[in-house]
Amino acid sequence: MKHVIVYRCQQCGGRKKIFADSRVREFVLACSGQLEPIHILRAFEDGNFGVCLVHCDPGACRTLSGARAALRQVNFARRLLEEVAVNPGRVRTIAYHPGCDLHSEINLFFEQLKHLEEHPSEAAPEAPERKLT
Amino acid sequence: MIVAQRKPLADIIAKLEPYRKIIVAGCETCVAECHAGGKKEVELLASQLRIAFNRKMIPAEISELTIERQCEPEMIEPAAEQIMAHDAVLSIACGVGVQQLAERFPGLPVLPGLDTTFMGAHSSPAEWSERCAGCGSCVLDLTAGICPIARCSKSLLNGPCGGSHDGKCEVSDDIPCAWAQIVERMAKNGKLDQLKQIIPAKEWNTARDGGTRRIIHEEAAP
Repeated sequence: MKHVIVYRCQQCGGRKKIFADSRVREFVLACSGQLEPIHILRAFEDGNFGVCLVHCDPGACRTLSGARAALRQVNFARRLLEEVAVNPGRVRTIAYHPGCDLHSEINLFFEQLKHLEEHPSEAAPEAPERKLT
Repeated sequence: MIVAQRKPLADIIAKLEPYRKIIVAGCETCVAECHAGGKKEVELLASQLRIAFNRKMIPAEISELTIERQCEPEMIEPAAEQIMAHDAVLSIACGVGVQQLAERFPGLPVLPGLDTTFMGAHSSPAEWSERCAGCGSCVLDLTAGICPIARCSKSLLNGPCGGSHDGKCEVSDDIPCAWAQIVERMAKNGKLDQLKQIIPAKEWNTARDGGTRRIIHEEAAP
């Protein structure tokens, strides 16, 4: 089943998983700065719809530079995805702030992805069949 | 360190399309330092290739390997069996690494994934610039440790030329004038007088113009 992979900083809504939606696979990070471009690429390699990063406001990051670093990594990953014809709009970032409704933000992202899926050339790449070893 | 950059992905994919079992081989030394061919770059490139081949419906198996130094045969050897189990190797080491793999595995296509560019250093965050041209007869003692061969656009031994302005080279405002830097450093060191001495014409037969170079250390022979 295809999912949207959410990487979320623990400062943005707590350490426990908050998305009950079965279409979402959520990974809670100690800091968004831990995100590497490979985490984003692997999500598409596995045939998922999209990736969303929930990060702190860069000015309010508790590790000072974590959110900024994460945004740089996301931009880099977007460029790499563009090279293999994956629409960079499939990677979204959400700057968390108190009162931010993450569920509606994710639903909005699903809507955007749905639009992309309607265009065959923009469809997410299918994952290959994996051999069980 | 040797500085390199990745070839355009479309070129890499076009060269790899005929093969079904491909191994992406990185090197953990120079090209890892300049973010071109280390373990991280192997992971990213292999992932991109998997996505691209999938999109093209090409059933290829892409594996990953990182060798500590691809220019050392001893370090290639432990991975020999793994490499030989593939149809092609995409090496993202410098040109030396690619040639070492090609020599060790003569029947196997070894394709370069990088364009090896220069010998250089980290000059500012996320930037590497050329520092040495490997000319074979070093003049750094005469030029305050700034190489005029690699860093002056004209490789002048007695500069600066008339194209130097405000410490920049006439070729581009992004290039600092090496001779302006040399003069500045000499002045700082109180050795400006040294520059009155003309540096004689260089023996270029020690550089690339003398053909493929080799060095023999007899004391290191077994």
